[in-house]
Amino acid sequence: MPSYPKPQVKQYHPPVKATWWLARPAYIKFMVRELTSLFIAGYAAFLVVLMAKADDVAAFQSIMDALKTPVSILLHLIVLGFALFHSITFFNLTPRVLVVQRGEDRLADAAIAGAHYAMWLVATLVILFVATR
Amino acid sequence: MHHQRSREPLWWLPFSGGMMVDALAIPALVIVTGLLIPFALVNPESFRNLLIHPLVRAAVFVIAALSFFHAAHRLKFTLIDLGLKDAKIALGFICYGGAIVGTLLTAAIALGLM
Repeated sequence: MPSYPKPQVKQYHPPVKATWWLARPAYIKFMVRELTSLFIAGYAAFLVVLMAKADDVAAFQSIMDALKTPVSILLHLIVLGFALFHSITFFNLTPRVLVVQRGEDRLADAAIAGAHYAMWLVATLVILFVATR
Repeated sequence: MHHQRSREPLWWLPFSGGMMVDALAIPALVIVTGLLIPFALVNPESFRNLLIHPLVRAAVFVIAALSFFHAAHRLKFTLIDLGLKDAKIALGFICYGGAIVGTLLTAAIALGLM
């Protein structure tokens, strides 16, 4: 059997600009969704700092005082906006990810998303109850 | 022909866990530290005592660790999508490495070692 040289095929990748995601609202929404995870991770790191200072009364108190500043409240509101965007878009997506089969029928999308929203409500109430009690 | 198995599924579990935990817990936590404490609806001293409780420390560890992996995974693929395709392997090390270091630091803090 004759041997042929391997064809030298180079795949063509059309150039993509770093700003491609600005082209459509759906792409922008996708990027914002990606971005929410960074704000949430940053907030999680802040929670870890709070935990680290919990046995140091003076240091903890100075963080508590800092929470009262307008800058802190503004930052929290920004994080809250991103966090709510993540929660809502994620729970709305759950029917696409989780398919519950009941006999011949699929459980309705609204039921699956609704169950997640109910879980969110319970988790929120538990956290607020534990914190304010 | 031998195909190397992708290690990617390994990162999906903390990623999807992070998506779920973040969606459920973060808005309420932000409301507590961002609004309820500054407006004196949560007592700072009882909040401090909560953060000393082992169950709360375990919960903060889980939330933080999953959030770090969730963000690491998204950051890696967002940067690839923004054009850093050639740096894929380095980005993996940096992003997941950062999440691993953050998780180890958080574990040490939660256990009271730091």
